[in-house]
Amino acid sequence: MNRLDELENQSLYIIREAFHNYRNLVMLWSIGKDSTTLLWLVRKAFFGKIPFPVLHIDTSFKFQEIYNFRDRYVKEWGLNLLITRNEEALKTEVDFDSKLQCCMELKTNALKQAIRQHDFDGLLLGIRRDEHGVRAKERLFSPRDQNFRWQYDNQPAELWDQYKSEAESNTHMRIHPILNWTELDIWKYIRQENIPFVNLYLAKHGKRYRSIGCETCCTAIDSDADSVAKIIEELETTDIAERAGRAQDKEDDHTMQKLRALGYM
Amino acid sequence: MSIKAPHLTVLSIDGLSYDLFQKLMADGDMPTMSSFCKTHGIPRKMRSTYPPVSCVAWTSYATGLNPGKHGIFGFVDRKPGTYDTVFPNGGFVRGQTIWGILSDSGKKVFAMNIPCTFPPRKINGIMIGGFLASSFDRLSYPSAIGNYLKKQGYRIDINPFLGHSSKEELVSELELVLEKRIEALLYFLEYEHWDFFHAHIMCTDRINHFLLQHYYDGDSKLAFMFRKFYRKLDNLLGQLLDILGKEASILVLSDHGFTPIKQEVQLGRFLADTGWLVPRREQDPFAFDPLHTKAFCLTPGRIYINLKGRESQGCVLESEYKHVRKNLSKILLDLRDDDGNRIIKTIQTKESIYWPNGHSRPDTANIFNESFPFSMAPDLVAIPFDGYDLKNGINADNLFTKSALEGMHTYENAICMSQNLTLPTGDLKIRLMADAILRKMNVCIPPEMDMPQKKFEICSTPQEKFINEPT
Repeated sequence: MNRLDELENQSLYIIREAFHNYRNLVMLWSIGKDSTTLLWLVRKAFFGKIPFPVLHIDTSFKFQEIYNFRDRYVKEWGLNLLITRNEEALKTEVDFDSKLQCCMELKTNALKQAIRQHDFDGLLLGIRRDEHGVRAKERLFSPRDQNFRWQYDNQPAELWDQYKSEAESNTHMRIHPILNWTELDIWKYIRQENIPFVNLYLAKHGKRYRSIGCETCCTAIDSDADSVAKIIEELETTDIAERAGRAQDKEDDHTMQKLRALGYM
Repeated sequence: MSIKAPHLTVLSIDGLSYDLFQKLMADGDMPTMSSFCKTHGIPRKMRSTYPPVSCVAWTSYATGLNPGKHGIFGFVDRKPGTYDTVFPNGGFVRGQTIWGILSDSGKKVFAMNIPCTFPPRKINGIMIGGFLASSFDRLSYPSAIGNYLKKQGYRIDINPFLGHSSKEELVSELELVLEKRIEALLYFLEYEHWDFFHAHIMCTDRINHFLLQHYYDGDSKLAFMFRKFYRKLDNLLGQLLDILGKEASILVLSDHGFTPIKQEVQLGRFLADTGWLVPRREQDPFAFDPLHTKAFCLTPGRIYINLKGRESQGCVLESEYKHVRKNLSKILLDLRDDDGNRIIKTIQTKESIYWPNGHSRPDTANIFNESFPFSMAPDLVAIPFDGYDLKNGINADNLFTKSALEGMHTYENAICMSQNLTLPTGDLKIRLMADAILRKMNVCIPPEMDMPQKKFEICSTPQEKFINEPT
């Protein structure tokens, strides 16, 4: 088996295992390349008809292209789409200049509300281990407590593909079927399967997005990769981090260096 | 040149300590300020906040609240419920600020370069973000001001790495940044008639951090450069005071004192050496094993107990909490340097210096008060003797170290002086300035502000002695 087949196999197994174990499963779809790949795998796992809802956390600041893409494929793939928004926070004063507070209100708290409202006990997420430092310690099956806390030092081991997929009551399980995929794997798989994706990833006038989310917090990178083949070629040679265009990560780095020099760290 | 002076002008000089200011004036390096003092009386000593850090102190200044209410406890803080760090900025501040209160009352407000005002808020006027602003794009409200500043060659801050590579270059850069700051300040002062005008000088804090010891040692090129820098500052302040005129109301203040560093003390390493903390080999302020760590710290001297229930992997029971704090305090108070001198002067408990709400100290039964941001406060704050700069350094090579830094902040000797403005009587604290400013501006004082009075009447005059006051 080649690497992509192996990854696909493992992911399908995890998705079906999750469906078997949780009475109220939901999949989170941010409409980016990773969660769209996950959605593709979920469709594959259930032969085109997904037996649970798909949840989009809408901050209302996403790129227009993202909304267009979502609406097109909801119809085309017959998805049971739930959209959640933290209406209260959007109405009142979220400080949009504070990245952390903004993400917290519009993403984390919106998700909390949705979990409470629908009583979800299992969440399928399209995160990948190579995305960001903090995701390195994630498990394929990762329990969260009521307060959303993740006890990364106290997780069950996942040796020899034995997954601890049962969660205690009052918690929910986060399931990461594509945790072991890399950014490059994703693009190779997109090419192999011809998966549709938001065109923001393709270069236009020398710029493209490597990671997409809210329009306000993403910056495009310099790139001429205007096709999947060129993206794959670019990724095989680059050493710039995928989320380098995300504001929160970058600002923190700058701040940390500065505080260190002044002796405040 | 003459203008219609603002109803109140505030000039804040970061980290200008009482002793340093007196010495500079006595040596003739600050003639303008010296004559200002002759007319308006010697500057008064003022207390800072716990810990005495610019972003904490200026937020207390701007909100009139103690950190237990405004939620800024340092430049680095903890992500609630985790062992991760976060960098608080102006967006994290809880409670109303004087800029907002004055704006709501229809006053024209100008605020420039004040720490912890980035990202800038929408105010009735102009706000130019202060320390930790990262770029011109989002520096100011309205944002177009940022473009103007960029064109004028305005500098947000110095490059602090110069302090480690070349102190001479650092000073020339500081002079440039200072000139540009004053240039912008004068431009905006004449730009329109302001009701409230506050401009902040940060360069003084930087030069004190990197050159203070050289200055006190005297007779070196760097000491000379230090004095030259302050002469320049004095000259620029002179220009400003001339423009404002003798009738204007002016408040000049700093946010904390400064003293030369004898030694940096790596408190994180001390906690590891004494078994309170189990370190991990990582470069991280929280490089420890939470399952086996009872206490950990953040710069400067903020100590957290790894409390079960509050922390995600806490191991200290609520029933042990006070006992652990007491034991730890005892050991810390007994910490000595190689010559046998004690390092830590006092240790404050969280409930003795921070208020979660209301106007009085929480009773001790309420330490586990979950109200935010009080719940984020350090459990203990260690205040060192002058000269011992408390760092974290879990994996530092030694308990006592030295670096390119020469000065450290102190709690007690900030300064405050004024022209045509009544300052609060008695013990001065930076937190009390908001009250004095709002009174001067004839604006209602929000009832939740921590005021020095015993009784709280909105829009009343100061009265009686106070009890139970937070720091």
